[in-house]
Amino acid sequence: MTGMIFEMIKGMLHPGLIMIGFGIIVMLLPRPFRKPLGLIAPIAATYALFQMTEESSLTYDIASYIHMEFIHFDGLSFAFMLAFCIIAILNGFYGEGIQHRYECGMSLVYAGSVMGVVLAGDCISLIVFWEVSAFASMYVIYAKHDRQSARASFRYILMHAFGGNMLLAGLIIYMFHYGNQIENIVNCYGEPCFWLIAIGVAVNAAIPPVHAWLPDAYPESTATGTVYLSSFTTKAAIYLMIRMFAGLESLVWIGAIVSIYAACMAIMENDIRRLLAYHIISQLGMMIAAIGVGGAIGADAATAHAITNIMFKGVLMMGAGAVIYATGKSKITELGGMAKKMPVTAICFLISSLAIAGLPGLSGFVSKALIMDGLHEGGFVIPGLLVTAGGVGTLLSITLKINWFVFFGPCDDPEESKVVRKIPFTMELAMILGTIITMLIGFFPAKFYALMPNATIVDPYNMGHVLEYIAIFAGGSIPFFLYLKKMKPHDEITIDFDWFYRKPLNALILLLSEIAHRIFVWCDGRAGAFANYLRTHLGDPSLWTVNSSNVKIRKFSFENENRLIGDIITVIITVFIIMLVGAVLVMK
Amino acid sequence: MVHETLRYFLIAFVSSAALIVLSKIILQFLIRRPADYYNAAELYQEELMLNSAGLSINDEMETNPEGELTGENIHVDPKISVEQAAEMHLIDKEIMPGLTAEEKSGPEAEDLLPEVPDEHDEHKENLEDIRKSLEEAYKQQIESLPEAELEVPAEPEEPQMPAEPEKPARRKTGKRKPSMRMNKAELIEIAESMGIELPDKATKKVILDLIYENMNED
Repeated sequence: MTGMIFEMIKGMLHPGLIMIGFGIIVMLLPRPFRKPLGLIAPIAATYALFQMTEESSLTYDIASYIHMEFIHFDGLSFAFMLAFCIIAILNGFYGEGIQHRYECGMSLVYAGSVMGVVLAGDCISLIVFWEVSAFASMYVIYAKHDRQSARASFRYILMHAFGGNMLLAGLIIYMFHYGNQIENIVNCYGEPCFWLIAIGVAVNAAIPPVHAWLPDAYPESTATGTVYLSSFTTKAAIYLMIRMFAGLESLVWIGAIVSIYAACMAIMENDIRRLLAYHIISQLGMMIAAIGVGGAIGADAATAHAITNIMFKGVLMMGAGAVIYATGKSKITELGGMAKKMPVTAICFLISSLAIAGLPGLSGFVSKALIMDGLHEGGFVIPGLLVTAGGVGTLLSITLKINWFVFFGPCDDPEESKVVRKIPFTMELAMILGTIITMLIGFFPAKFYALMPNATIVDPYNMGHVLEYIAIFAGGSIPFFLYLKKMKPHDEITIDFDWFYRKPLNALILLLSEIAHRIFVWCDGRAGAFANYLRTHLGDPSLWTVNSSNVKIRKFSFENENRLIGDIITVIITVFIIMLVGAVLVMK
Repeated sequence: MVHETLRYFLIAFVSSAALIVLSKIILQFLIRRPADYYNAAELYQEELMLNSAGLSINDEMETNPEGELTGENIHVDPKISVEQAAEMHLIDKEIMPGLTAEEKSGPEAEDLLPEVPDEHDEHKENLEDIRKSLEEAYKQQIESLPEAELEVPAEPEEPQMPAEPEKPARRKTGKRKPSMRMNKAELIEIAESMGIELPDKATKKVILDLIYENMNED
């Protein structure tokens, strides 16, 4: 009996709810008790994940015909959940001792809600966890508690409220026509529910033109917050796109263009985290292109690239966060020669940046091989070239630019980029573990492919692939070094699509506010005057008739020149006489 | 295989060069802006709004020694005075509640009504002309002086202005002050009460002038 109950409880353990529960506890407990919970929570969630099977179920019936299914477990959700749990553990190490209470708690709630999205088996639980993740991530952005982060988090929640409402509306219409299950909706192309869901997912997946929230908000968070943010929201959107939009061919072109667009924007950036944020978008473009290919290879390619991105992008963000934590600076123009001051960080960053560029032997090579094979099999030649160019952009901006100007290149001003505080050992440990995982995926691709939902197997380490990527590395690096002096960024920002709601829309709202304010001030002034008028006139009723004709008539004397009353009497008598004459004539 | 390798080498080289040209040369001029492009305007708007409410906010929230956020980063300035608020056009001072009796005693009902042009406003126009002519004369006098006599550019003294004609005094009976709005009989009554001898067939304007003259003499 006890065993049965235990088995039943094990089947209902929801990793996301465990993380959310721990997050709430962290926010309530005093410091000595809550310190280890940031690490215990993801470990408990990982344990719960490995207890789950396809028979696991956690349901709740809102009504007889509305059924919420919190756990829908299959290969795809397992792959994403595994990556989320691993990165949550790494983040637990990374943020150990430096995260504030509410930031730590909300980070766990955020991670848990995204896990809830991945495990959701119906539209209602999906949208509930989706919205919870939006608000939790808003706090994670705000966690730095300065003016910039406050404004950025506000803009972030505005965009995500828009996206969430689009998704909600689309899901409601979809549920009305097709039911509560999350399924592929490519067959619903052209229907309102399709477009609404697409817009809602596009916001979270940072597809232009609704992508500007990502490079705007992510760099404003704390060093640890950005690591969380980079790993969860966008990958949950990719998961949902795999579920609902796999095989939509237009996504191939959209993804390819997004990949190269974001790489182009990243090359210009000066802020490390903003540059990495644009690269998140670029990598998302590659995943979206893979989703568009469809089929088993498309889903596996997108999943594989999402997982490898979670790993090496997490390490890259950790490295950037470590540099910011140590120096207080995030701009490339203010940094240099950091490899000598922070060797562990520099090496981990280098390996992860080589991985993201697709160097053979690392995880990025393994996942990109799937994407390129999928595009090749689908006959998408030009999108394949665009994706390759996007990879070259990645090489230029992260692997070469950041590594040269921040870590390994000469330092222009050692005093300016000095380390003001040593990073904790747990930060370095998290980066080392993440780098090891990145390398292991690259060394054992077959085992990695076996984790994919369809277990697609390709051979990435054939001579053609390896030479291809070495050629890309060599060919892409030469222009960088030829143009090295000009590659250093300037202390400027790049305006993006967020210009439309930060300038003209802002100006319009200010104008409307000013007009409303002036109307209210006018009404206030006139209301006071009117009230004063009533006060005086009700107090002295004779004032009502001061200028009236009736008073003038009463006050007139017969010596008055106007003789108004005499004129009135004359007119009346004249009219009477005319009427009398007229009546007589008519009677005759 | 060599052919494929070279092909990818060229693709990468051309892509890299194109991306560098596009981003560092073309887009650099189109979409790159100063670092405070957004923040400067937003900070200015924020300062305006906060100052009007008498608030100031620190950039970072304060913490106690244990590093816990205290929630204190908003500082409320002492309330702005009525005069400051009036200057900032936040309030109409004349109808602001809480004013002193002296401040409140100004406007009366009739002054809040639409004003009818008064013939005696021409006195004000004449005064303005006198002021301007005096200022011009003073400037000419200063300019004609040699530089040696101009030691420190002292602020010019305001020209001696003729006293503005006083507005007709308020009658002790509390009745309205004489104006063209009153009828002739009322004006005659007022003039007689002031002891003014009126010519025969005097018009309202003549009567009013005599009344004001009598008031100025007083």
